[in-house]
Amino acid sequence: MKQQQALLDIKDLHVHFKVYGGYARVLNDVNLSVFTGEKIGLVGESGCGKTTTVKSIMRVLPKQAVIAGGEILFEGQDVLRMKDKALNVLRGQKLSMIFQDPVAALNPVFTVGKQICDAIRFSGITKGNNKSEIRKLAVKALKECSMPDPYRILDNYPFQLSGGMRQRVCIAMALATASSLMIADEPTTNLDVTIQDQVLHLIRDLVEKNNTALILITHSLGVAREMTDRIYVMYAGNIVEMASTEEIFEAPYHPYTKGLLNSIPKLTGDGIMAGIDGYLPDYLNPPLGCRFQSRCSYASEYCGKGKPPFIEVIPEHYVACYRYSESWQKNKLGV
Amino acid sequence: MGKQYMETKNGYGQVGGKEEDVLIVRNMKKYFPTKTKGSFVKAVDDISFSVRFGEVIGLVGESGSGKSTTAYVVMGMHNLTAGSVFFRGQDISMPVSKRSLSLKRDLKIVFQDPGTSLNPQRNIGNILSLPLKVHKIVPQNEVFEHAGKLLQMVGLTPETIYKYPRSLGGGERQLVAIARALATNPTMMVLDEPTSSLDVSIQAKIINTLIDLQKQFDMSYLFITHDMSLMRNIADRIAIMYLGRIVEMSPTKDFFLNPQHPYTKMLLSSIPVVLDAEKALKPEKIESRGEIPSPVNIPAGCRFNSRCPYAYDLCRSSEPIMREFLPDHEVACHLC
Amino acid sequence: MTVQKHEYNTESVTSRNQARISGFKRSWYMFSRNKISVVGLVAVSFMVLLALFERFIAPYPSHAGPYVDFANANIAPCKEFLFGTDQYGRDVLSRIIFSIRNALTMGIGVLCVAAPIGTIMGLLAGYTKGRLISTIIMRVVDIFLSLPSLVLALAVSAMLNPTLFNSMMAITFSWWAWYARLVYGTASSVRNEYYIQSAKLMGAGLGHIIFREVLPNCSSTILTKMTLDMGIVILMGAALSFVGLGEQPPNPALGTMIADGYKFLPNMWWLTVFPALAIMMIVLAFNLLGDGISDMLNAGEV
Repeated sequence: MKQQQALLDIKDLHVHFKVYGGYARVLNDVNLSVFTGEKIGLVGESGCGKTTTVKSIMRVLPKQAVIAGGEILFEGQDVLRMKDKALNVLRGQKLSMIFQDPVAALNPVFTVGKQICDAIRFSGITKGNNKSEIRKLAVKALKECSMPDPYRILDNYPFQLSGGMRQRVCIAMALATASSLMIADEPTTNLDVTIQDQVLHLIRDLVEKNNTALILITHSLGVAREMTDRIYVMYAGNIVEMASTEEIFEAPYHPYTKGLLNSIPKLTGDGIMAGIDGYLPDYLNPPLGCRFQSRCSYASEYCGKGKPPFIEVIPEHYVACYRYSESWQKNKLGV
Repeated sequence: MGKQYMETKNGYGQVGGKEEDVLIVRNMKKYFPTKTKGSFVKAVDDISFSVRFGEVIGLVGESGSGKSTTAYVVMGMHNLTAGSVFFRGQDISMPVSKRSLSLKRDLKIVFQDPGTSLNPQRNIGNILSLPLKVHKIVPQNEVFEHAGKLLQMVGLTPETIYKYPRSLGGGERQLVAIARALATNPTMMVLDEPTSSLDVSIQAKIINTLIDLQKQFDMSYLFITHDMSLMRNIADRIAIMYLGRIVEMSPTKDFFLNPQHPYTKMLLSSIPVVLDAEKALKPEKIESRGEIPSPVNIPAGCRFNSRCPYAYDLCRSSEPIMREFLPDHEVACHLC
Repeated sequence: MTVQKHEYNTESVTSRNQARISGFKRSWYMFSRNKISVVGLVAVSFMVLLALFERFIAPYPSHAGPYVDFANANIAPCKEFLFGTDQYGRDVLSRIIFSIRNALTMGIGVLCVAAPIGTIMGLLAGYTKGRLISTIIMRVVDIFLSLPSLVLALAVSAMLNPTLFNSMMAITFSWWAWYARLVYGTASSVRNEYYIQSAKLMGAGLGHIIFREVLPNCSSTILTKMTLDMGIVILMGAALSFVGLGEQPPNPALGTMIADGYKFLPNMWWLTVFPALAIMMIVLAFNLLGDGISDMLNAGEV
């Protein structure tokens, strides 16, 4: 990989949840890095641990969660061992987040203006409490999100805005604090395609303009393709494949990535897709070895032996699958 | 099952429908009153279409286009404001409480979210036995056995009857909901976004099951969705709804090769795709702009004029009507 | 949490019994996650045991009735009389144990009548929300809710004979309306759920929809409220007997015991303090149990 220091570096992250019946081993050795100004996609289906990963970065995991190992380095500092004060600075000035549901992300009893201004004030990017200055920043942020009539919007309550507008307000809020990493958790899942198109364009233009790094979390490979430079594919708490966006779509290696691509209905109308049989493994008793083996058509006896290594199949394209390591296997087992 | 329509031939003569139509919707309107007196949410505003025997119709639209309301009016969950609905030649423009039991058996709906369409407090066996008991499909003592058979038909194990919805995954729940709709052997099913809350890898399985069942039992589907790519692969005909109106309707293949309405083009060009071959199929980029106006204040003239890049004077003053542009391909646009 | 949405089966259930057992285990897990509710459960079970086997547990069962032993009157708590004796020489501990039975009978009696009536009224009104029948039921409920139940109970007990049964009747008379209101709220929101719509579209009858589809979804709120109400009803019973309108002497009642004892404060403190502690314990135990039940039944998350 690149030699420069990563902006965000997640190393061997394990997160478990205490649930009925024991511990759900949700995140199992997640490694992920983001460099300054880079747009990466974290793609996977619901329940694969995308949101848990993000919540670990923000340190907002629910109380049943246990971080069982690993570290999250942001600009070299370990987020997981940060003091509250440093964490607030980090959340306020370095990281910003866009949530899936703009309805839940905005407080319905305050005006949009108050919420944006509060976000700016708490972040501490303005010296002191200069109201007019904060308000100016808020208006600037709304303008950048191509909101018509930002002064009127500031005095509106969230319910007076449409879904697309609310998401724009959330983006403006994330933007106003001028962070170096933006995390967008399924930002367009609740929006219609035509509005999704607009919002995605907006996010892309803004992060490119401000040289902000972006982690886009999505279940839609199509969205990831339009937005990102590099994609991590996640399955059942593991990163199973990582490559540049073009590579992933042109030559996917992991059977899961292939299956996922195959499941998507295509505009070309080649008929109904096959899908992937079976369901996610039980996180309480995950299978030994590869977590995809029960649904994988290529599964062999190797797959149950241990966690598949993350192999660089071709430069900059990593896959966690035994299939691409046969020589490695032979050497190791001495067959 | 498909042949029974012969008896109802006369009924169709009266409404000007064709023999092969299982469902005919004529000038249907559904207005919901708002808090202000005299103003209405015009959720569905004068739409007409028909569904033929053994056909899958895709009703596509964004949220707020009135596609779900259309489904609910067809099912009798809402009273219609104006117009009429005919099912196998029989006028069914009435609320569900006035509908006959045989109609309830023949026309079924599968809802969007299987999490809320299955009662969380009842196990799958009880859920599936309700339609079997109400319609006396099988004798009382064979109900649970038959429920197991239904589950097998949708690819689940018969033992699932002992489980509760909460211990099933989203996909399995939706399969149970489909099995429940199937229990009475319907002629037609209304599918209200049955896979939009599911993952794509699961969606594929559900869609395959649905299509297999449709072929096996010769059913008609009215498939409500916002997913054009999905419709491309399973629908025989597609209708696009915008703000309570159908703006374009045509056979699927035509539709994608030769989209006419600017809104359809905008929709198609906004879809995120994964293949280069798909990219090539998209119409030249129409930049998506604006948002769907409120159905309380519908713009004068063409409903789409506020977002349409080609709008001109006529579009702002008079509303286009549906015209047959090519055989079986209807469009409501002044420019076509 | 997000964990619950996963496409996996947490249990492999293949028979009805297995389903029951696994359901029970799960409920116990949800309940026992909060240790305080387990304390409540233990305390309530302890009191039920006391009430059931009072004759065998109480050190002096005969002291519960008309018994006089002036030789042993007003003895402070000692080895022989753990909670001391009253001015007639009766053992306070024995009388408390016997009065717990009266208190529980009162609570159960009131709730077993009030809850079903209120539930049926609430289900009917909630399911038919917007129609005339619903409006009528709910206005009647409003009238009953505006009657202060304690004052009503006082009036009824004062008018009729002041007995345990009469005061129970009086409380029940106004209590059902709370259940009607509670169930009305839940039922009127549940009726819009798609599973109710599905049942309607399938042609299910009103009885089936109300009792088989809507009621199970209200049961958790009803059960929780019943547990919490036990404490409150018992408290009201104590208040009634304090002013002499509940169980009549010589039968023991916690309220009467306090009323009789408070004249001797602070010297003979045991006459008031122990019955008061008993009331507190009962009410607290039921509240804790209620919290646990609510945790168990509202277990949306894992």
